[in-house]
Amino acid sequence: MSIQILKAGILDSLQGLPVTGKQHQGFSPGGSMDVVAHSVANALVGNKREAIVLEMHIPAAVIVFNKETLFTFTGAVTSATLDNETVNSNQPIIVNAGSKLTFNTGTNGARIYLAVQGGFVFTKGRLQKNDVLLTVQSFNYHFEGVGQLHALTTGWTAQTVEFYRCNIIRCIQGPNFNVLSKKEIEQLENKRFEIDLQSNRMGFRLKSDPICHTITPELLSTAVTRGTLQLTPAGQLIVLMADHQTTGGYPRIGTVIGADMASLAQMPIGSSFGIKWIDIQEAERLLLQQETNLQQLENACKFRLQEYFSEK
Amino acid sequence: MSATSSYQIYPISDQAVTLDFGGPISLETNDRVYMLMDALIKNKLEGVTDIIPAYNSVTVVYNYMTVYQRQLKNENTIPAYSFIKNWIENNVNQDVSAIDFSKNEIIIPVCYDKSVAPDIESVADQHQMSTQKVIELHTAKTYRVFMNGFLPGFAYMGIVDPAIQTPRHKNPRPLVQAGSVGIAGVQTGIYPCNSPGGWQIIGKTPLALIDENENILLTPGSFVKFNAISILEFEKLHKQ
Repeated sequence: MSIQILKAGILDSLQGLPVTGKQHQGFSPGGSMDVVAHSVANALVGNKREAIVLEMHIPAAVIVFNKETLFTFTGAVTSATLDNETVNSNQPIIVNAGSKLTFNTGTNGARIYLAVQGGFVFTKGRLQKNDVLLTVQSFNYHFEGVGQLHALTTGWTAQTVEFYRCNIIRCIQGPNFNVLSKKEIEQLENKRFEIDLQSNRMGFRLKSDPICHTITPELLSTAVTRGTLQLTPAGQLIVLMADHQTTGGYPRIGTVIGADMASLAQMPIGSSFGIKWIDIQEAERLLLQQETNLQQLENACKFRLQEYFSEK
Repeated sequence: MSATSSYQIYPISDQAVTLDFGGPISLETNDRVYMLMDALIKNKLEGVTDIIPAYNSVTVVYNYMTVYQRQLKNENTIPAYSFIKNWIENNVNQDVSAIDFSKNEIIIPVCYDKSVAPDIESVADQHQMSTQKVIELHTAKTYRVFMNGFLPGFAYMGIVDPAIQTPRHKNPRPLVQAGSVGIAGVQTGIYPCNSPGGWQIIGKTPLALIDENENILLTPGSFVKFNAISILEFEKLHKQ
């Protein structure tokens, strides 16, 4: 199976889960910006969580399926047009060879994740017009008898709303939280942070009233992570995202909790949010809760897919 | 090495903990970093995905769910963060004499010709010495790779002779070429690929710092010596 990019989007790439283990040599873990959407997309087509998916920004690519398959999309859009039919996100969809998929313009996020059964064969970098994306063959479901039925959905939708929040992003305090003045700490929870145009997969620049800091320490470079909130000398924050450098020298005033990284990754440029500080125990509790919910969704998808295909 | 040396330990995310020895760039502190890293690798823990050394700190990145499940299995109720923190602290203050720091030197050929070293003359001027003296002082020392970071395979090395220490440019260059050798204060380093950068470029190596399989030449903790070569040798080696 393969798909082809008929028209490239603004930034389309193949992504897996973050790859750890070489950060001590300066290699960023990278991977999907929204790991929850990545996982949901794979679950909906019966893939393992780590399978490679297509990550698209808005406007997204127009693609054609070269062979019949099972696919799904999730993330920033709720619907798309498959040939002449409207198809919805978060549903497994059986598609015929030659079908063309176009994403509609109305969005409620920043990134779309498309998965096909088997997962894609990974290639690095930004996808271009006419690129052909091959898939790994690992799927046992039968598509015989699909005939000319385009856009056959299996009739159920995964609920993903619970994974996303839009107004408040929760953070733990960082090692250099103490560079902030007392007054600033008091005011910080009332500030709004807008995602600046100069934001990308490496990091989001956040626009706000300048953050007052009493000290600007000369810090030695040390490790940073996805979610680290760096304070620039101009009093603005940068939050590090998937392709972040492994080390940095700006003061680290905090870190977005793991459970809220998917929500942050789906915030479009120009949207804004507030920060709420929580402690590490609460962050761990929320991470566990998110992982439990995700595993339940994965199990439900597996069950539904088996049920659907055993009836065929 | 005193067993009571102080440090701070804190979470930098809900899946990463840093142990920070504090203080300025020094070989002694960096020894402690690699002692700790060595001990952590020896006493490996399931769920730990990265151990990232820096000048004066070690960061452990872990998978929360793996650690949580292990805790569950062992009927241990302490939070994952505390568990990782304890594990790191149990490995600190190991005996420095147990670590072998006498690794082989990596020799890096560097051409200091001004055609590939745009800042060598201004560095020499700032320190009121000849470019030849800059080259002598830069090639005289064996440097420690304190850490990698910034770019894959970028090595932060030191300590540069005080006589040629030069602060980085106020405005970074939009493009520094792969192989460029720079100075920034007490640090020296080599750009592994084309990149924007603010370091004072005093030379260029024809060697590849990273290969097509993403193997890097200068790994954390290794030792490096620079060997001055002519522009002709540089071009010959560069073509290979």
